[in-house]
Order: sequence, then C-alpha cells, then structure tokens
Amino acid sequence: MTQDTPQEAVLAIRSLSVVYVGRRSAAQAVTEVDLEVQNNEILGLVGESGCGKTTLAVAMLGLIEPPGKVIGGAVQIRTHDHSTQDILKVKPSLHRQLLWKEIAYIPQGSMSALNPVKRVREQLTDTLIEHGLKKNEALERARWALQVVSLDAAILERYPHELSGGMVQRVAIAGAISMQPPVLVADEPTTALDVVTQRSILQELVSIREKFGSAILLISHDMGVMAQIADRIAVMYAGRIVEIGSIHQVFASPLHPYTKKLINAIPNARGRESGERLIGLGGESPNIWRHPPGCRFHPRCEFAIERCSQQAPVFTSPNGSSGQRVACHLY
Amino acid sequence: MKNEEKPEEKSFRSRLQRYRPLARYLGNRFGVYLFTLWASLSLAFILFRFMPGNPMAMSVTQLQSNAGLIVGADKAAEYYREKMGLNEPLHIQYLKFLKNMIFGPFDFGHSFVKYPTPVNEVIGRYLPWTLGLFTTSVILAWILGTAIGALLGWMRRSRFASWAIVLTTLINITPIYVLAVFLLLGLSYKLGWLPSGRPYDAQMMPSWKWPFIKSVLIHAILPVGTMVLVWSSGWILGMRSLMVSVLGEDYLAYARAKGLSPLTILKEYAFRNALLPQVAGLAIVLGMSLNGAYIIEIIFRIPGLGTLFANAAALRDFNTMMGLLVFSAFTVLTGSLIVDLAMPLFDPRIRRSDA
Amino acid sequence: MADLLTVTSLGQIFGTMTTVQAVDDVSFTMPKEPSIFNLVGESGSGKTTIARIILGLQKPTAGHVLYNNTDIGSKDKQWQTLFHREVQAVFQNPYSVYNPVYKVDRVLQTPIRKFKLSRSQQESREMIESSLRAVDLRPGDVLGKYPHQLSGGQRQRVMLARIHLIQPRLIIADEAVSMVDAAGRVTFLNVLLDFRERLNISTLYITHDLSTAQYLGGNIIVLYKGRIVEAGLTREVTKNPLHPYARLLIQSIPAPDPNKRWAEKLPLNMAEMSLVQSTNRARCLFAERCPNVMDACWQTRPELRKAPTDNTHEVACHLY
Repeated sequence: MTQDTPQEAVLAIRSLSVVYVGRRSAAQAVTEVDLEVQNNEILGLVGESGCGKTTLAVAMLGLIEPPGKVIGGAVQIRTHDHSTQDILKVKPSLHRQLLWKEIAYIPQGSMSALNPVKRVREQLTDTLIEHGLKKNEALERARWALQVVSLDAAILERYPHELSGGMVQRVAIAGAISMQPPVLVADEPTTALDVVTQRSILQELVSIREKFGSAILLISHDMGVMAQIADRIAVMYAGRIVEIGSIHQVFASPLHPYTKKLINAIPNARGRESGERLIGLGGESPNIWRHPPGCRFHPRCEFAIERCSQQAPVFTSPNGSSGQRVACHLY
Repeated sequence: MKNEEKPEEKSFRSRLQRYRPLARYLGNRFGVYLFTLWASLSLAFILFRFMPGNPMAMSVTQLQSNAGLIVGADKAAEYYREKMGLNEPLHIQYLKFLKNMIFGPFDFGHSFVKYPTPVNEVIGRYLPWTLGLFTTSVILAWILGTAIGALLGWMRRSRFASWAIVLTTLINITPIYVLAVFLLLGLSYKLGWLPSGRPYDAQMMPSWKWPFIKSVLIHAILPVGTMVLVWSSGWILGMRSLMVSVLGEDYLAYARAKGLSPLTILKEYAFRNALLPQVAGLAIVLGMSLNGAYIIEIIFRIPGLGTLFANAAALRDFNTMMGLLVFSAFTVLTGSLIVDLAMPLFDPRIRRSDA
Repeated sequence: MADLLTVTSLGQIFGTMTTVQAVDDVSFTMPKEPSIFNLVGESGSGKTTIARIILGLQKPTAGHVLYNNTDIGSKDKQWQTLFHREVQAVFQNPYSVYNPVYKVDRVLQTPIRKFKLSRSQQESREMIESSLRAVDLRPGDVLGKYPHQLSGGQRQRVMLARIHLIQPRLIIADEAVSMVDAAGRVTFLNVLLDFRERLNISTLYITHDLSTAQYLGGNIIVLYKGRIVEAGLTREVTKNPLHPYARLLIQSIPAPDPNKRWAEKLPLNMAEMSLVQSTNRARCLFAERCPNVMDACWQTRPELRKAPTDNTHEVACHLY
C-alpha cells in the first residue's frame, strides 16, 4: 500500500477523474487532477461555480454517488499511524473510519448543513461514538472541540436554528477537528457569512492549522479569501487544474490567462477611482457536457493560438524550479 | 461586559422568554380549534333548520300527526318540541342547541327512528365496529406505509424500488371498492379461504368470550386487509418522496461526510426528519376514519357509522344525522388539534421560533 | 427640487409580544438624477426589510416612503401601475423568481406583453435580443433554455435584461450578487453602471459585501441593527470610515493581496458571538462589540450627526 511520495504529502490526489453519466453521454466534471497538500499547509482551490471544485471535494472524500462516477485516479491519505490509504479503494467500513479520523469535511456555513431536529450535542457525539469513543468520552471531546473554536459548552444543548451563521460554522469546524484529522477539506466555508464573521472564521482556520499542523484544502471562488489565508493556490477551470503555485507567486505574476482574468475581476475601489472599469470574464462559461477540444479555456482566451484548440497543454514550470506550474501553450 | 448586560441575571427571565413563542403557538392553535368547532356546530344547526321546510320541525309535526297511529307518538313529539325549543323563535332554538352541545355535552336527545334511545347511544352501538375495523386499518396502513415508503426512498436507485413504486401507484389508483369486490370474490367466494359478508359468525351472540372474538378477527381479515392494502399505498408514495427529498438535503451529505454508518443515517437523519409531515397526516386521517366508509361497510356488511348515517338519511332520522355530523366534525378537528399540539415535541423549530 | 425617492423616519417592528425592531428611524433620499445608493449591513441590519417596504411588499410601522413626491401607499390605481413599472427589483436568489417549468424566454416576454412594449412578434424578438446583448449575454446562450440550465450569474443577468426591456427609473437590487461567484459579479455590477450612464436608471444597491458597494460608488448608508450608523459618499466613507463598525467592516474585506493580510486576529467579542439579545435600545447598539466603548455608549443613543471631517459625511457615534 505504501508508496513513496517525494515530499511528506499528507494528502495526495493522483490523476483523479470524475464524470457524470447521462443517458447519452458523460459529462467530464473533473479531469486528471493532481494535487498534493503538505502538513501545516493551506492549499486554496479556486474557480468559477461549475468548474468542478465541489465535485473534486466530494470525490476526495470518496462520496461520489450516481450519476457521478470516479473513472480513474487515487486519493492517498497518510494516516495517524503513518500508513498510506487510498480512500477510493478501501472497504466501506474502513472508509467510514477514515472519514472524520483522517480526513474531515467542513461544509458551507449555512444552517442546512446541520440536522434541524437534532441538538448540537447529538450531532457531534454520534459521529465520535461511531468512531470508537465511549459515550462520556465523546461528550468530553465535543466540549473540548467547542472550546478550541471559542464556543461555550452550552451550545451543545442548542438546536441549529438557535445559532447564528458564524456559530453554526464554528460548530462545523469543531466537529471536523474533534478527532484531530491530518487533513481538513473546507468547501466554501464562508460564502453564507457576512464579512466580519467571514474574517473571524478564516482566522479560526488559520489558528487550527497552527495548533494542529493540519493540512487544509480550502475551496472558494473568492480570490480575496485565498490571498488572506492560503499558502498555495490551485486554479481550476472546467474540471482541470490550470495553474498552481505559492500564493505570493500567483498573485505577483499569474501565468495562465484565466488566472490573470480572475485576479483582475476582483471588485474594489482601486480601479474605479480613476474611472476605470474591471473587466468581467466574458464569454460563455464552460459546459461540462461539451468541453472544447484542446485547452478548455481557449474559446474565452484572448491569447489563444492555433495549437490551443488542437492539443491539451501539459504542466510546465516556466520560472524554473520555483514551484509555480501552469498548463498553457504560451509557456 | 458593562452594566445591564449580565447574562446570569437574565438567564431565568430569558429562559421563560424562550418558551413564550411556544405558549403563544399553543394558545393560538387552541383558539382556532374552538372557533372552528363552534363554526361547524352552527353550520350543522343551520343545515337542519334552514333547509327548505325546516326538516327538524317538519319531522316532529309529521310525528305528531301520526299520534293516533303510533303509540306514544304524541309524547315523543312533545319531547322534541321541548328539547329543541321548536315553538320558540330561531335564536332561542340556537341557544338551546348550543346549551345542549356544551353542557350535555353533545346531547342530541332521542333518535327519531329508534325513540326513545338517545342518539349518542345509537352512535355508541355502531362506533366499536368503526373503531375496531377502520381506525385499526388506518393505523396499520400508516405504520406499514411509512416503513415501506422509508425503505423504498432509501433504496431510491435500485431497480427493485422502481418496480415497487409502479406497483404501489397501481394499487393507489385502484378504487377501493373494485379491489374489495375482487378480493371478496377471489379469496372468499371462489377459494373459500376467508369468511365474509358479515362481521362475525351468524350463529354467535356478541360477547367478550374468545370464540366470538376469534370469529370477529377472522371475519375482519378481508376488510382490514383490503383497507390496509389500499391506504398504505398512499403513505408509501408520500413517505418515499419525503425520504427522497430529505436525502437530498445538505445535512445528509454532511452526515455521510462524517463517516456515519448507513443505519444511523437512515434512522437518525433521514427517517426522523421525513417522519414529521407523515405524523401530521396520520392524525388528520385518524379523525376522518371515524366517519366510516359507507362503501366498505356495504361490501363487507359491517355495521359501522357509515351505515348508520345512510340508514338515518333514508329514514329521515335527522336527529341522528345531526349527531353524526357533529361527531365527525368533532373528531376531525380534534385529530388535527392533537397534531398541532404534538408537533412541537417532534420539531424543535416550532418550539422556539419567533416566526 | 423634488427627489426620486424619499424615505422618512422609517420604522418597522416585528412581533406582538416579543418585538424586534428591524428598522429604526431610517431616512435617506435619492435624487432625480441617475445615481447609485448603497445600503450596507450584515444580516439582521434591516436592509432587506427596507427594500421590502420600498417595494410596497410590507407596511412600515412608522415613517413613510415617497416616490416622485407621492406616498407609495397611494390608492391611485394609475399611479400604482406606473410605480410598479418604474421601480423594478432584483432579488438574492436568481433561481426562485423563475418558474422552473417555463423557458427563460417567458421571463422576458411577460413584461413586453404586460406593458405592451411591442406591436409585433418580430419586434419583441428583436427587443429581447438587444436587451440580452446589453447585459453582456449572447441571445443564443440563454434563449430556449430552462432556468436550471443557466449559471447563477446568467440568471441574474437575464433579470437585468428584463429590466432593460422595461426601462424603469429605479432598480432595487437586494443581495443580487451574493449567490453569484466572484467572476460573475463584476459583469453584473458593470451592467448597473451602464444602466445609470446610458439609460438614466438609478440603483438602490443592498448588500452585505462592502467591496461591491465600493466598486459601484455613489452614496452609501451603513446599517447596524436597524439604525444608520454612518452615511455619506461611498468614496469618502470607505476611505475614512468613522464609526467603529464601519471601520470593522472595511478592515474585514479580504484584500486580494497576500502582502496585505489581516494583521491581528479579530477579538472574539467583535465577531459577534453573543446570542443574548438586549431589548434596551436607548444606547449604542454596537457597544458590546466596540473597541472604543465609553460609558456614554451604554446610556444614550448616539444621534446621526455631521462628521467633523467633511460635511457630506454623517455618523452616529459618541466619539464624534
């Protein structure tokens, strides 16, 4: 089972592809994605809605359901006991144990993520008990986890609708860290929240990383969120990763034309004061049922050359060995 | 924390405050219940007094004109006039009626046809059959339908479930009398497996002894089976779609991501949440079941409330009809009141929401 | 000169026994000239209630709203028809306003029929296509499709195309881009700017996201628990926020620059964690979260006053 990875990647996604099976054809939601997340690292995954980032998150947890289907690849996790497990290949009972203990999921910060008719206590302890804790241990652990995210233990007896959006999200984070998993997957954890709450939740994630050395995969469409807390960033377009690099590299010198457009489309006062307008992405957003041949971005790309419509680009590192890689024919 | 914001001091009051919405909710529902009950009582009164020719008064007049022919008719007519205040203006009649309803309570006086048996006693004679057969069937159908529906919803992607749904839909759209007659002809007349045509063995006298009870049970298999079969199909379809929609909720995806076992997810997350509307549905139908179902009673010859109503209508026993009408309004309304009052137990969102 | 929209001392109390004051003495005006007006606040600030009142969906418990100097509660049928044509809304959830069983074309054909905008099939087709192009959509991409086949950003822009057809005076956009991803937001906001410049349509832009308000410019009101805490030119308020809440909001916008990260962790009491709601409103409602809180803040309600810095700028804070 154990496989050598060059660095100590605690989560390694290898050539993962997911399709949605339709009646006549299959939609390519995620295509040959390779990602690695190290200990003590926040990797941001950014892209427009529909680019496949949520599908990728679900696939990472091994929870793709019909009509979705994983057609290839592996999701390797380095567990607490230093073995490596492929979450897509283990048997169901082990799979359930790996979830939460080794890789935990933080949902979007909305009320609907928690069962409305169960108390917070029940929703935290049921999971802990099924992962091998005794009832009183589970309660103790739930209290501890709430304390980590600065919540009062009285929250345990509340129902989700009695909490504010920020508190619901803290409860979700408390649940996710309760077994101290090496990997956390946070899917748009702050989209439902206002800016002040968003800031405090993002800062909570940063302090979780500092406390536990977790590897966090942070999924968001918001480049501002990425800039604030991610260490590295992977840009996804139409099911493929098109660029990956350290957050400073990507913001200072974005390589892929899509990344450039994303960065330039962030609303703020800077451009407008001089009367300038930002330029939206324009063009048709990708249709996963009918990807264009070659580079999937070429119909929206102003730099497209002939090769772009014929051949899918492979990853290169134009800036030498700095770690920033891009899949684009321009380099 | 500065002044006046000390949480400890506020805790008791705030705890009381928290239950205020609940108290308001319960008070509200009870008020609506009382009002609707009053409205339906008044409607029943209006129906039987204002229908062309005032059927109540007419019946009594008729009765009186038969004084020479029927022994005691005279006295009976006098009784009704007194009881219902027929000689007095309508508003006095109405007040008398309300008085009989409230302080009787539900005193309808004697049945016209079965004089001098009180209407309530007549209803009481037919009620056990309705309770025993219909209400039992409704409850059985609900339990069965909810359980099967939940499983079919859970297995929503299996081929077996799809076929089961087709079959259930077919049963659901079949009129109950068609199925009843079909089963009666097949299982009883043709195969002779089950008795039919009467509620118990013709030679027996009703009693609480085992042979009689056994006879009632055996005779009940066919009617109860028919009703359970047809009625459960509705609950199956309802519960299945509730399950499917709950299974699509975010908190279900989250429950799976937590690595919970399928059994826990089924029981604690999907079933429990899908059950809420289903419980609400049961209580309302439970109230309605007490009205009996005339067609079923005819086919299986069960002396239930449906039969009583049909008989009363045929014989113009307006007093009994009125009694049945009020009784059915009362049970249906009380059924839904019970649901309203019980819902906060199942759904914490009602308990403390301010909405 | 008469204003387009005048909101005077608006108040809204919900509930009978336990009451919530959703809107508390809110006044502002939008001029006749095409302009952009931002209402910014977190959930519970009363911004959506204000939108609903202006649209006539809800009766306020205090104050009134004038549109072109006429109370929006006017019984005049003709005036109401005009009002409902001149004031158009775009809501948060772009999916819920569509009927899922009809193609999106219907959303665009209905106003043409209702307001009798065209005389022929051909003409209305052309109108629809030019309106779609005006909001940066290609007619071929959206016409003939069902709502679920469009992206959130496309659905919101079809709503804008509908508005382009109707050509109202005022758009009320309530959290219109909060379900649209960052990439689609700019396009939407640019359309609003275009509408103001080319078609003289004003926008009342309601949001929790200060950065989009900042992009639109114009005027701004910052709401907190139903009250105005700061008001003025958007440029001025975002550059020199005076109220501690407005400052907190502006500092909390995630700057899209990894070199400008938040310096310190937000103190917990400022992130609003308390569920205990105080019913005492005769004070500054931000006091429990405020880093500059003083005794006066707990005792008297700060009135909205001219800021010392600039006479277009107003603030309700005991610090000034």
